[in-house]
Amino acid sequence: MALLFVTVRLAHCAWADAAIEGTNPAQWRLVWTKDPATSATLCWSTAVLGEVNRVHLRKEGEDEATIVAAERNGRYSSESPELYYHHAKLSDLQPATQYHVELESDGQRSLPLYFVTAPADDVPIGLVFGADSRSGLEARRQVNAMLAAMMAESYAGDRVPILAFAHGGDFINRGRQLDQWSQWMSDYELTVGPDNRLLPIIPTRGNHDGGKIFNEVFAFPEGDDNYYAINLGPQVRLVTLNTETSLAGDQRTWLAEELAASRPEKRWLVTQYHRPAFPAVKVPWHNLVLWVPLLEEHNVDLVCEGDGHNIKRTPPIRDFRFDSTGVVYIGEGGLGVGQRTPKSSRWYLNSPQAKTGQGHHVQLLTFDEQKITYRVIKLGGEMFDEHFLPVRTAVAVAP
Amino acid sequence: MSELQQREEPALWRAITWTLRITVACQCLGNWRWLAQIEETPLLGWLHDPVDIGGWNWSEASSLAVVHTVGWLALLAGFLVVLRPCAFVLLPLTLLQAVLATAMWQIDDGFPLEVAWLSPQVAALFPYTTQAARIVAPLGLMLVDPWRGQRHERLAISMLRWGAAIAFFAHGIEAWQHHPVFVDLMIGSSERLLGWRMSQAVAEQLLSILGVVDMVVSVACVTCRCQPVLWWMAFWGAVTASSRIAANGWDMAWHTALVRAPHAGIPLAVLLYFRWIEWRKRKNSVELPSKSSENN
Repeated sequence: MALLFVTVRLAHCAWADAAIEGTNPAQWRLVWTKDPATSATLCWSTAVLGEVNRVHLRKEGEDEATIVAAERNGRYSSESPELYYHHAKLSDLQPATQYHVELESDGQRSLPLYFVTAPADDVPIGLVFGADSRSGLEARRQVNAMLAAMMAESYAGDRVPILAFAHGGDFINRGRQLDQWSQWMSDYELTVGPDNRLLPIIPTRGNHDGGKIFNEVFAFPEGDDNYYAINLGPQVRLVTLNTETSLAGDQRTWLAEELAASRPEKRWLVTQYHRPAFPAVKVPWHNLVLWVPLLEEHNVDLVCEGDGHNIKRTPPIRDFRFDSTGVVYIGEGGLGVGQRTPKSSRWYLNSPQAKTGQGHHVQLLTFDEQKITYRVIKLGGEMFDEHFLPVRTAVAVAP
Repeated sequence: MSELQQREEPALWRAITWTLRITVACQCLGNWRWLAQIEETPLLGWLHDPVDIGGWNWSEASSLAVVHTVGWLALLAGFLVVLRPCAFVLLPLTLLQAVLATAMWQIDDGFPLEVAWLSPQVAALFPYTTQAARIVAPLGLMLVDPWRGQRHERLAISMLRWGAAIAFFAHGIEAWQHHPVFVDLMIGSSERLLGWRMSQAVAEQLLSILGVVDMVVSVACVTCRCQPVLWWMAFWGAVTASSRIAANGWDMAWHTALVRAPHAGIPLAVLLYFRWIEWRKRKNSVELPSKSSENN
């Protein structure tokens, strides 16, 4: 197998963890849960609440920075450790534009960082999917460093640029323990590229991410159910679902409406959620009965699943049979967790069109006019699997 | 108890012991399916998870071998319970249920309880309450129906009452907090059985009411000898266990219904026990005057 990304800069780990002292802005994360071409949420943590929490935002090519106040500041829902969150919602941004940011709490500033918004034009884009970072902390940090390297390399040469990282859930082991979240947030700083570029994250709630802290880490409103859909370009729709709330109730109604509205408009329709409907190791979650019929009815192109701790790609499936018009399920999670042995004798994995394996990894998805290119990149850079999904139907693209 | 009395054991007492024997046997069958066939259990997770997150870091092969073995032993134990229950079988079954609850605690499985005044570490112990009935069912049977040992019926019935009450109270809290699995069970069951798709809002309102009912009956279960309460608990325990099959289909869910057999079986056994006490009192009151007349 070719080594796709050979420059995993582990030395980069050394400086990435910003100290959580006083009002020093640390644990920076850029979250995409609404239109990423024009908006984003910057989140950070401090050890002291601070009175003035804000972002200095400067568009590339301009001299003047604008100030965006953090609209939500507060203590994470935990007695210990004492830690405070800050969420600054950035809106009215320009698509495919570089923005320089510095996070400030009471006069203390973060490193100068930057990010790029999603494009408004129909250009090839990349997205990394991965899940299950709740254990194996050393491997987790190494995968994060690999993500930073992959993002940096994707902008070099003629590669398709990686826009964001879709995390399929199980960030940590116990969702109510802030010490574990704090460790994850510090580790996520390792995804910041060597040129201080932020890797936007598109979060999914997993079964180990229960409790209020998840919404505080990722700037969801209090009590939010964490299912949403965003455009990663004019032709790529990513639908994030939550397997930890009711599947049969409002979420299913929303999903049916979302897919019905998106399918005719988008060339690529992708979903991510945590517990698998077509698992390689575990038993199917209730989404097999409640969501899969909708995914098939609306011809979703690719479904990203986590939770199983292995590497999986199914053949296209429709009505519990192989069908070239069916839906392909990938993922299962390897951002640090120990790996399980896939049960490749299962009917949907026992096929030359399926592929399973083990090892810490991420799934790199690139979308262009003709195809989705799916690659599994293992920790260390080895490409374990490569697969192409052709476009289903010609979608009328608005001029 | 003399040999003569044992021979005269009334049908009601046999009904109590057989209710518990069938309950525990159903548990064993459900556990066999879960452990030996489906494999993916809290026990497997606990054995295989790394030490840094509370596991034992056993290899996958060793963990699976243990889980399979325990599953087949549970099936064997189920047969033995039907044939002739004894401490040699029932104590390990109690231990198995306690270990499963411990595994749930250790790997953070089950319903994530939301109580602001409880620390996450204490809230994580919640599986012991949801599993209480399953833990005490084999233990209660052992004390009620010992083989060649002394019967401890009052202790057994107290434990069974408390086990059922704790499990009902815990499930009441889950319902009150709108456990998503319960919401989906209600929507799925109404869709399959009635052909009517219940909205999430209606399901949540009903769950709030049912949660309160569960909590009230659980308190009543240990504070009074109200037979309608026990009838309701037995009925509702059976309905909620079966709703898993109704919502998710037989193949995927029959074992999940069977492992919950104690939710129906224990209240029924306690109910029969109260009837048996009444029968005994009546019998004694009939015997005493006749004995005194003989003495005269």
